[in-house]
Amino acid sequence: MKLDHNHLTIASAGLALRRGDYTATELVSAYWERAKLENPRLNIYREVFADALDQAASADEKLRANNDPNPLLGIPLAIKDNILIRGRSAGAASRILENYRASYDATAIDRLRRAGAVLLGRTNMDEFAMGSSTENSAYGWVRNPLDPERVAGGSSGGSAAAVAAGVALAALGSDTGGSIRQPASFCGVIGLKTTYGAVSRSGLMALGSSLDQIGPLGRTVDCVASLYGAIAGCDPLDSTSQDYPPPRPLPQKIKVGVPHAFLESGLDPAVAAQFEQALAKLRDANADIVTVDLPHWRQALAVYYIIMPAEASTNLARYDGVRYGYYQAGEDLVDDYAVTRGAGFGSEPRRRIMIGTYVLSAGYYEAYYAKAVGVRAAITAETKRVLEEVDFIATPTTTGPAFRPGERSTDPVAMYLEDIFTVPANLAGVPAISLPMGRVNNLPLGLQLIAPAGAEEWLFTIGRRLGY
Amino acid sequence: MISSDDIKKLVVLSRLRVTDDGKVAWQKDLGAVLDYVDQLKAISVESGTSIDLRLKNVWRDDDLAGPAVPAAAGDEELVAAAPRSRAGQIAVKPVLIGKIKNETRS
Repeated sequence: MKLDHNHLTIASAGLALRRGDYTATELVSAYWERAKLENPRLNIYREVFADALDQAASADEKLRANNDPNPLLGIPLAIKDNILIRGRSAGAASRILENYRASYDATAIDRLRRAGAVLLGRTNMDEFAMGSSTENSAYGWVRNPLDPERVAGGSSGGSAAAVAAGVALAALGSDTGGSIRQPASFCGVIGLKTTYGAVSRSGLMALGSSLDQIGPLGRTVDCVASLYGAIAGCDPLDSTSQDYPPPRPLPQKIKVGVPHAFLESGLDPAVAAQFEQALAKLRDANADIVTVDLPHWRQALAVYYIIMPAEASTNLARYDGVRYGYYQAGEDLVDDYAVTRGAGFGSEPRRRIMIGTYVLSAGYYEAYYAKAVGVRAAITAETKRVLEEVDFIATPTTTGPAFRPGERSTDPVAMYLEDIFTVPANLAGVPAISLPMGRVNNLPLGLQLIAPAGAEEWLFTIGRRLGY
Repeated sequence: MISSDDIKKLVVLSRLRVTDDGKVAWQKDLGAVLDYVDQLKAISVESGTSIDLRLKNVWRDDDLAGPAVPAAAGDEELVAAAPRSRAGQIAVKPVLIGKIKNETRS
C-alpha cells in the first residue's frame, strides 16, 4: 500500500478507511514503519509503541461494524512525552524520570482512546517542556524535517516534527509559553494553544500550572479541530477545567488587531514582510486590520520568566527520588534529595528551579513575584479589553525561522526571547493558533492569531477561510 | 547581579547539589535572567491578581469513591514505581537522625 504521508489528513484518512481503501491496521503499520525508518535520522520519537497494531486491530473491528462515526477512529497519533499513558514509560525527556511508568491515563489520552485513536508513540521534547529547541532534551535534539541541520523548535518539537515528517497524522503537545505554536511555526504545521481550562491537565506533568495547556498539532485546521473536539471539556480530575459554551458564529466581516508598537521590539524585515502579506490575505478574507494598543505586553516575557519558574520550582519539588524515577544516595534524607535532583535534572530545569526559588524567597517575593502577578493582571485585563473591540489579535508566531542548534543555547535570555510573541496568550489564558505564514530562506514562518477565551471555533473558522 | 552567597543559599533551598564550578556558572546565568526581569521594577501597576475572583473554592463530597476518583493503580504498582521499597512500602531514610544537622552544608 502506498500512502501519501505528506498530504494525508485525518479527514482524508477517515474517508479512505470507511471506503475500504485500506484498513486501520494497514494505515497504522505504514506510519509505524515510516516512524521506525525516519527516527534514527530525526530523533522525533522517544518510543514507537509496540502495541500500535493491536490498537489498530480494535479500530478495524469498529470500522467493520460500521457504526462509529468518530473522525479519530483508527488515526495514528503522536503524544508528547509529558502526557501520561498508563503502563507506558513517561519521561518528559528527563533523566530524573528514568524507568518511570505511568500508573494512569491522562484525561486527554483517555478521551482519545474512547474516540478510537491509535497512540503511535511518545515524542521527544525539551526536558520538562523547558525550552524552545529540544536542545534541553536529555536524549538529543529533534531535527527539523524541513532542514535537518536546524531545530524543530520546542518544547513540543517532537510532536511538530512528527506531523511535518509524516510519521503521525496529528499530535498532542503542551504549551506553557509557546511550546506548541513555536515548533508548529518552525515545522510548517498548525498548532493550537487552547484556552486555559478548556482541556483537562490531569495526567500532564505540570510546569507552570497557571499557564500549562494541552493542545493539538496537525497538518490542517480540520485535523487540529478534530483533536480539540475529542479532548476538550470539563473534567472532575482537573478543577481548573470547564466547559466553554460555543461562541456565536464568526461574522463574515471581521476585525483583526495588530499591536504594532509591541511588534517593533523584535521583527526582522524579512519576517515583517511575510507578516504584511499575511495581513493582506486576511484583508482578502474580509478582515478590517486595525492597530491595537497593548502597552503591558512589552513586559509579558519578564512577567513570564518570573511566574513560570516560580510555579516550576514548586511543581518540580515532587521529583525527589522517593516515589518514582531516578535515585542517587546521599548522606541522609535531605542529602538524598539534593544529590538525586542535582544529578537527575538537566541544566535548564535546575536554572528555572533556582530562579523560581529566588523570586519566591523572603525578601525578594514582593519585588519579583508579587510585582509579576500585578503586571500579569494588567496584561490579562488589556488583552480582554482589546478582544472586545476586535475578533482576533495577529502577530507573527516567532521573530524568525528555525535556527541551528547552539545558536541560542549558550545564552539563556536569547533562548527565552524565542517566546516573546507567544507568552501573552498564556498569561491571559486565551486561545491562540499558529498558521503557516510564508517562508524566509525557504524555511516556514507562523502567523499567530489570538481569540477570546473559549473561542477556539473562531480560530478554526478563520483558519479555514485562509485556506488551511 | 546575584551574589555568590545568594547562590549558596539558593542551592540549599532548591535541594540541588552542584559543584563549586557550577555555582560560578549559575551566578552568571541567573544574573543574566534576573537582570532581564528587573525591567519590571520600572513599571507601576495596581497590585492585583489575574485570578478570576468570581471563582470560589469547591470541596468535593467526602465520599470514599466519588465519581471523581479514577480507576486508580493498585498500591503494589505505585510502590513498585518507587526506587526503593521494603515490605510493600516506599522506603526512605529517617528524617531525624540523632542530632539535627546544620542544613547549610552542600
